[in-house]
Amino acid sequence: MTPRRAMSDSTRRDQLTGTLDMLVLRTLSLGPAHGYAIARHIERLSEDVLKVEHGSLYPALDRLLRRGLVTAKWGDTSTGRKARLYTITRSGRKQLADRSAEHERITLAIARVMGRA
Amino acid sequence: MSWIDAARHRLRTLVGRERLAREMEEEIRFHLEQDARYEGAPFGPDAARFAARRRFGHVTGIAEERRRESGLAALDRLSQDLAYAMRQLVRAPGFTLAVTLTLALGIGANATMFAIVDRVMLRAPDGIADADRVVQVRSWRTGRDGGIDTTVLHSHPSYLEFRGMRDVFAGVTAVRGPLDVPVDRGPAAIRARGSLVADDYFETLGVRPALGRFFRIEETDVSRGAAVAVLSHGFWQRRYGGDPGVVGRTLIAGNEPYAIVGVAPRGFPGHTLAASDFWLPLTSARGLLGVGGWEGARGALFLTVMARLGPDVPPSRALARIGVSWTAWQVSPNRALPWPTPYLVSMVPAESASRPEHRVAKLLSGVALLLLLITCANVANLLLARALARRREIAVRLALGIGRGRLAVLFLLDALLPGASGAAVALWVAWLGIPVVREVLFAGTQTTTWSVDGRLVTFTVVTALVAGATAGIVPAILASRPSLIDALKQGARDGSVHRSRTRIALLVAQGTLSVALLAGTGLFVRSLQRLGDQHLGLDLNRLVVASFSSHGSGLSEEGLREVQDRMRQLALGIPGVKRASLTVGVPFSGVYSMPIRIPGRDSVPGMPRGRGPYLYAAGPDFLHTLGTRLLAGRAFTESDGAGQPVAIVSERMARTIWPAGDAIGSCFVIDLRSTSGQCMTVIGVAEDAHRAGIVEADPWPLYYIPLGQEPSFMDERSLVVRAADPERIIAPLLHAVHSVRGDLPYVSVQRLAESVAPELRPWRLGASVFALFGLLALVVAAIGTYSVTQFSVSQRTHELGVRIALGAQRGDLARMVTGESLRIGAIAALVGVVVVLAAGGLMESMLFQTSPRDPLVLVAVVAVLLTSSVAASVLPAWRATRVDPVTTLKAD
Repeated sequence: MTPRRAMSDSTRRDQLTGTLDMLVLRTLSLGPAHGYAIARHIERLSEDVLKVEHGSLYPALDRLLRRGLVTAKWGDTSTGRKARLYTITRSGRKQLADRSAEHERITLAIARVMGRA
Repeated sequence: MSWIDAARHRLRTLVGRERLAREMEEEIRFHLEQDARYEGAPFGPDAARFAARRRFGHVTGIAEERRRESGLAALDRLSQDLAYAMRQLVRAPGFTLAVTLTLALGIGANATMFAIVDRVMLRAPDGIADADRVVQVRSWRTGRDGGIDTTVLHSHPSYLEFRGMRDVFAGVTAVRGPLDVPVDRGPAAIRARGSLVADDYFETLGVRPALGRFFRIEETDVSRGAAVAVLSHGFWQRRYGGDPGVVGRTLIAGNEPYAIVGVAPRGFPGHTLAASDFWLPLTSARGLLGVGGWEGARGALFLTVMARLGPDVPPSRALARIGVSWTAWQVSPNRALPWPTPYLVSMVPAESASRPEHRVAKLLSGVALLLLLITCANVANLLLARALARRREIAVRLALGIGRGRLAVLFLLDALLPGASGAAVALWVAWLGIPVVREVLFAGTQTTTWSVDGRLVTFTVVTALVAGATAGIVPAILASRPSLIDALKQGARDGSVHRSRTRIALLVAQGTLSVALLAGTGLFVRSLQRLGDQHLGLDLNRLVVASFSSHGSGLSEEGLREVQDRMRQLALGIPGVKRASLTVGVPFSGVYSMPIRIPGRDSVPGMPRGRGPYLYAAGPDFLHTLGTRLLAGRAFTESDGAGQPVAIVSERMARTIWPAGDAIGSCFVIDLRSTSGQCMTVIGVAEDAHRAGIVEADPWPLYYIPLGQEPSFMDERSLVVRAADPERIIAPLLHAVHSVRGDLPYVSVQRLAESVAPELRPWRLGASVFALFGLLALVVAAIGTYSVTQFSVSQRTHELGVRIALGAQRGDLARMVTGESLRIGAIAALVGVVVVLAAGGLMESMLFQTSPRDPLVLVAVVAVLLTSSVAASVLPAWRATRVDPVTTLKAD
């Protein structure tokens, strides 16, 4: 494996996963939730346009945990079952704010190019 | 803080790997159940489960990805590598043992020195609460010669001024000592160390009694005071066997009895590491101070002042507060110089760094570090040899697709794992070594934290990791470099491998460091030799001194003289004793000096004003007893004591004052108001003799007067005894002394050589430690050379076989192998000599009349190194001659 291919691989994955990470953080900014609830919320939020495989959510959560952007602990759900609940950390919120601003800028730029702004 | 959350998460991953994996499974099961319940219910449970799975994606694939994202995968790999490295190490016990022990030695030496340096230079004495809040008040100013004079001591009135600063200090105290104080009477009498303390000593330091109580304020009060004493824990254990009934008993210190009121806590040495055995109130123990009238005297500087800063008071504020009124109550002994400036010193570190022991401790730390470097180089070499020996196995692993990074990790683990077990052995080495170094360097300091503690363990573990990584990094880098990998992939018959430049460089480095250490040993040994060869003007190793304090014996002056004469008679009766003489003034432990005047002259040549030659008041046999030769004139006789004033002068004094050689018959006067002023006729000239120490740059003028003619204040007599074997007469002498009177204060009987032992200690220590470390380094370097040569021979079996088949003589082969090892040794010796020549100046101040570039030492060291190189190659050379061409050529 040459270094250049490795880099392009990882950048591409970063762009894809970056969006998912942001959506997860956005969801968690409303309050702690377990994995299933996050998946459902993202589906509803994007009106099923951004349909992701539920499974791909979990590696994203693991990544966020590793970076200290969310924390996880076991707790009771509203139905009284035990589930792993994720909470956004302060640096998670900061990251979300940074990324949202950047996202808005890019969206605006694209809209301008398309002649709609 | 994101990194804290991240670190916590990572730690949890590390510690609970199994649990985390289980939780992930559980989480996914929960997800699928929930999804099936809410989404697919209308078509029955089976269909719902199926739909949930489809929506979820590839469960195993996702689990795999989660392991990667959560860092579990990396951990899995690491634990695999660890297990693999362990197995490899267990399979090669010889290699593992060699690496572990070498590292343990290097790390252990460093751990020992760290424990010493940490205790002495980085921490406050034990038992002081919040030691960083306790400060010593000192002052400095520019001295007469432009240098900086610092003053540690204060007068009693100054101490009272500090005590008044309640707004910045929570407590202020003062102390004098520890002083040597004779304790108790008769044969049980000893000399112990007592400190005389002002008010609130223990309270300011924040210490609580282990037994009884400390001093009450009225007991330390200057105007009243009480004869009470507090014992140290160690003294209580040693002298009273830890008897809890000790409170209320009496301690005789000097002349006075003191009631014991309490015992200090275990490990508390007092305000310095030089431990106090007991504490007495300054007021009631004024007899021990030797001077009176200090209460109001601003010029009597004798107290160390310590203060505890008030809550939230920064040192700067306390200092500013002192500065406000400082000049109002300080004395300036010399108006031409500026006022001293006060400053504060924290109680951390425990010792001021200027003591000679500290220089030695620092040197030893440096030497220990050198030894560690040598061990690292050696371990690196062993690892390289192992890597080459394992190249088939590594080639297989490479073929199976192991990454370069992971291969490097494997090599690193090969060094780190033995390093970890080496750390455990190192702690044991330190545990053994600390008491030895402490005893040699800091005898008489008492504290409980001289041992293995958390800080030491941390230091050892960190050192082990650093050493392991240092040793492992070279093989790890080489292993990850394609050139070595290619070499590894090639077969065993590669001729270029044995000429690895890295390995030879490591060997040279080891040899160089060994040369440096061995040269250090040689230089210290030379210094010791030169010290021993000095002509001292007296027979250091034949003399025993018995000294007794005349104070507090309850005897009249005449009674005391009688007792002392009787002791001398008894001493002369002891078998083995040749001569015995009474004296005032003992070489190396205290000799008087008084200014003199020559009638008819304005000044004494060679004598600065106010200073004079040293003098002994000696019995008739004194010079004979000491072994000091009489060069001219006559010795004292029994009748001189009561006769005309006479004196014997040293050669130096005779030459300085009477350069014309007319000393005998001339006369001089002790220039003191209290003396009669009679002129003393010089009746003899004696050879110069050392007075203060083994190292005495220039003999100072010295003279002797007959015992009985000395000024009345010279009243501390000692008995000097000459014997062929001084060690054997100490016990009979003590017995004789006590048989004269059973209730004398402490009588010290010891060999004169013991008084100079502390002075010789740095050289002795330097020589022995350098020798020990140098020898270790040499052995390690020799093992390194041996293993490399041996390896090279085993790698070249094929080549050697061919050579033999072509008719090479076995002697040629042996010479070839030995020559290779000798070449490495020669390069190392050359580099080492250059290093010693360049860096020798660092040691100059620690040597005695020895140049750090002493040619004899250098030659000897080079010879030793070359010999060891040859010795290390003997076995491999022999092996080379045993190569059987038929077998080797048929192999492979």
